[in-house]
Amino acid sequence: MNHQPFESWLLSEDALDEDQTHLLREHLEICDRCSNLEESWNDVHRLFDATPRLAPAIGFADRWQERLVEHNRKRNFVQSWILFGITAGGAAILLILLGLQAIPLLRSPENFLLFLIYRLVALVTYVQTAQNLVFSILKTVTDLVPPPVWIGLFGTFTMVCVLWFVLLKQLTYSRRMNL
Amino acid sequence: MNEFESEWLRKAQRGDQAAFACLIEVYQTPVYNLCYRMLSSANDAEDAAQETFLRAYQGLSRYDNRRSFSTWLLSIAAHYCIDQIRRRRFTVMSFEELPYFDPPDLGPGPERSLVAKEKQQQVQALLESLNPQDRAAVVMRYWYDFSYEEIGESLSLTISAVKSRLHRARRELALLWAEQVPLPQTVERTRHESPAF
Repeated sequence: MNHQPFESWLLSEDALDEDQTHLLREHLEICDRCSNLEESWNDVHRLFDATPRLAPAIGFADRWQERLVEHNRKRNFVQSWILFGITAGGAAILLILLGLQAIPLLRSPENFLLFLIYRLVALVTYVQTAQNLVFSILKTVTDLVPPPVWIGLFGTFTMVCVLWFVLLKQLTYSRRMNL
Repeated sequence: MNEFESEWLRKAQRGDQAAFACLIEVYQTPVYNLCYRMLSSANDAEDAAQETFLRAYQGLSRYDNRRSFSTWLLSIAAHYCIDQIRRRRFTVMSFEELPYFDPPDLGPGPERSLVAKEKQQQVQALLESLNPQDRAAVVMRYWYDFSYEEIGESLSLTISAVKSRLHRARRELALLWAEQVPLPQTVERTRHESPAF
């Protein structure tokens, strides 16, 4: 016996038209297989309807908050380790590069020492040159400006400093009053 | 979603953990029930429900306020449970590690409780016969009255795929039920014949 389309109609949730309903009823009267299928599905549906939703044990939200704290702690721990790993990796790469550069120096230490002495002498020479330059500029400037101008400049500078100090004091005092 | 829930959701999206805890109080039962129907274990369901809320909390910034919050939440739960079921297939478990199966007590009185427990076990046995996606579709349809569109949205399926899956699931469930509880055998009969003979 052909059970299609009756089986599909039985299990479909779409509404059937009048003819389809009539044909299905006729078929169910003579077909045990399809009527059993209908009855079984109706039983299952009733069972689903009679089965309520299950609730979790009391304190679910509290347990979730604890889980969130634990989750954040683990995430921070992992992030710290990742950061440490990246830093350690970077440091290791730098050390390896430094080691590679140091190998030729360690093979011939006299060259390395000579290089160091040369650099030291060069540094001292640079410092001396810079010192001489600064002194010569200062000397030229002091020779160019006469002593009365120097006294005037110094006096003006002192006045400006005193004025700045007094104004600052006054401004600070008025702000405190406003508060 | 009522006014309070919308307000809690807005606050939670701004990072208010207490507001999200209020949302958990409201949605814990639907989420837990879905997880239990999918995983058939109280312990696994608790874990899955907790994980669902954790993922939802972390993904709140991506949540589209035009969508239904419950659909979004149950979608996360369903996808997580489907993944868990698929993972279980590849995990060899010892007898001691098997999940503890004990659904929560449903009502007063040992007799009613026993009947309810038996029903729960029958339902779970039926649901376990389905593949994970069909199971999720059936649970959403018959416990949450989700429309085909909502099921499709939640499970990333087309409406025709949802219809086809549900049809197949209903057939499987009916056949399995008929095997478990054999219906009285009826003899071949002709129309208008009395069933007494």
